[in-house]
Amino acid sequence: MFDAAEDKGDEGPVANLSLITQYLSRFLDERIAMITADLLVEKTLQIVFFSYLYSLYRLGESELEDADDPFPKGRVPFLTIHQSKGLEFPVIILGNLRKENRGPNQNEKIVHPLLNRPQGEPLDRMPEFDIMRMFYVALSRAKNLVVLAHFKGAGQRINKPFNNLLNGDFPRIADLDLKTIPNAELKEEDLPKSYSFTSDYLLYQKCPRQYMIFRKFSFVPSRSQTMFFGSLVHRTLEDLHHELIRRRANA
Amino acid sequence: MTEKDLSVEMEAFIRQVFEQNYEELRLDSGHAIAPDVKLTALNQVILYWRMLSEIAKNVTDTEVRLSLPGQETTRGRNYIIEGVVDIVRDNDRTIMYDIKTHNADYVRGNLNVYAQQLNVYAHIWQHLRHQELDGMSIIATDYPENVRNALASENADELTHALSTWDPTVPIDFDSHKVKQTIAEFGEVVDAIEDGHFSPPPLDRLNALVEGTKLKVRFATHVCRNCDARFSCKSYREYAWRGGRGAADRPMAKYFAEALPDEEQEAWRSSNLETRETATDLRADFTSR
Repeated sequence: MFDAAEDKGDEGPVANLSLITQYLSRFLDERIAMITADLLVEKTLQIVFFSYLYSLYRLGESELEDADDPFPKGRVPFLTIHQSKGLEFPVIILGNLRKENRGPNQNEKIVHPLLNRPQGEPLDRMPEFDIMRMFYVALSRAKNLVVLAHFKGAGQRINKPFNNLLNGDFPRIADLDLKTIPNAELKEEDLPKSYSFTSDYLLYQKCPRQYMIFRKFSFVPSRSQTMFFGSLVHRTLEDLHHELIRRRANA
Repeated sequence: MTEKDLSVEMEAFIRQVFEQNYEELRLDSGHAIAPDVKLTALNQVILYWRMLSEIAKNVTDTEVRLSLPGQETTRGRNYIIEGVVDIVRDNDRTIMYDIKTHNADYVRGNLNVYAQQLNVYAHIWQHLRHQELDGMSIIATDYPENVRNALASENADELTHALSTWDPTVPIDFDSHKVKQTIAEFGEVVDAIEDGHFSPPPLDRLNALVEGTKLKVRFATHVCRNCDARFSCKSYREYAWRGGRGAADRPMAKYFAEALPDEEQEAWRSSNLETRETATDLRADFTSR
C-alpha cells in the first residue's frame, strides 16, 4: 500500500488508513486508559466499529485534511460547490444543474426591512442572485474543461438558463477531441515552504519511508515514549533557564 | 545566597517544574511513561544542573527560532530552512549549545550529523544577529552506565567519581565548507520530498551497524524496531524474514504475506457482488424494482 502510494501515485488508501489511526488514537485517549484483556470480553470492538467509526462517518468526518496538498494523489475528489470555493482544477464535472428557488431565506426576510440600505438587492430577487452566484463558483473552478451533466427524462429538471444553453448548439462529449484540451499544469507554490532541520531534513535522512508515513500522512505512532521523554527534559531545562535568567535580572 | 544554597534551591525548583511538566504532557498527549523512565528524565535535568551550572547560569537566550529564507533547490524550488537553538550563553564568550537527550558517545560516533546541524544554525545566527560566535557545542544529557550505577547505589562518593569521568559536552568545530555542503544536501532532500521519493532504505543500510552504540546495534534494531510500519516495509521484511534476523518479529510474517495478485484479489472481492454486464441490464434491474 505504501509502495503503491509512492510508485503508482494512488495515495487514497494510505490517506484513509492514516485517518483511522487518528480516530483510534482519539478513541483510546477518551475511552480506554489501558489496554487489557477485558477489552476482548467487553463489547469494545463493537463500540469502536459500529458506534464510534459510524458516528464519525455520519458527521462527515471523512477527509484527510492537508492545507498544502488538499487531495490525495490518484483520487477524484467529490465536493459540494461550497467546498470547492477557492480551489481550481484542470477538469471539473458539474453533476447537478438544478437548484430550486425556494424564495428568500427566513433570516433575510427578518433582516431586510431593518437595513437602511435602499440600493441593495431587492428581497424577492435575492434567491435568484444567490443561485447565480453559486453556479458561477461551480463553473469558474475549471482551468481547462467543464463537463455538464445533462439529465433528461421524466422528473429530471434543470434550471432554465442551463436548459437554454444545452438545448442550443452545445458541444457534446462524443464530439470532444481530447487532444484539443491542454495538458494539466502543476502549479508550483509561489510562497516558499519552510522545512525544519530536525523534523524534516534529519528525519528524511534517517528513513524516507518513515518520513512519508508519520510526517506527510500524519499516522499516529503507537509508541510515543521517546518523544514524551525528549519534550519532558527539554521543557524542564527551558523552565530552569528562564528561572535563572529571571533571578539574574532581579539581582 | 551561597553557591550551595542556590544549588539546593534550584534542585527543588527543577523537581517542582518537572512534576508540573510531566502532568501537563501526560494530560496533553494522553500517554504516560514508566516510573523508571520518568526518573531517568529527572536525573538528566538534575545532573545537567550539577555538572553544567556555569553554562546554565550564563544563558542569555533560550529556544531561539532561526530561519534562513531565500534558499533554492537544484530543481528551482524556493524554500526556507528552520531550526530552534536550545541555549546561547553570552558572558565572556558567546557559545551556542544544542541539548540532546542522546548519549555523548553516540554523539561523538555520529559527529557529522550534529556538526551539520550546529554549523547551519551558527551560520544563520551570525547572519541574522550580526554577532560572531566563539564556539558551539552539543550537550548530551543521557548519562553513561557508571553514573547510572552510582545513582542506583546512592553512594555520594561513587557518584562524584563517576561524574568526574563523564563529559556531557561535545564541542563542534566551525566549518564553512560544511555549511555549504549541508545546505546543498538540504535542498536535495526538499526536492526528493516534493517529488514524492519515499522508498525505504536498502537492506544494506538495515544491516549496517549504528556508530556510537556500545553493543554494536544494527540500523534495523535502532530505527526499524521502533517503527510501526516495519511489517509493511519491503526492506524490513527482507531483513526479518529472509535474512534470518529479527527473530522476535518472524511470527508476524504470516499476517503480512505478499498481497494477492490483482486478478485473484478482484475475484475474491467481487464474488459476492451481483454484477450486470451492460447498461441495459442495469436499467432493467432498476425498473423491475
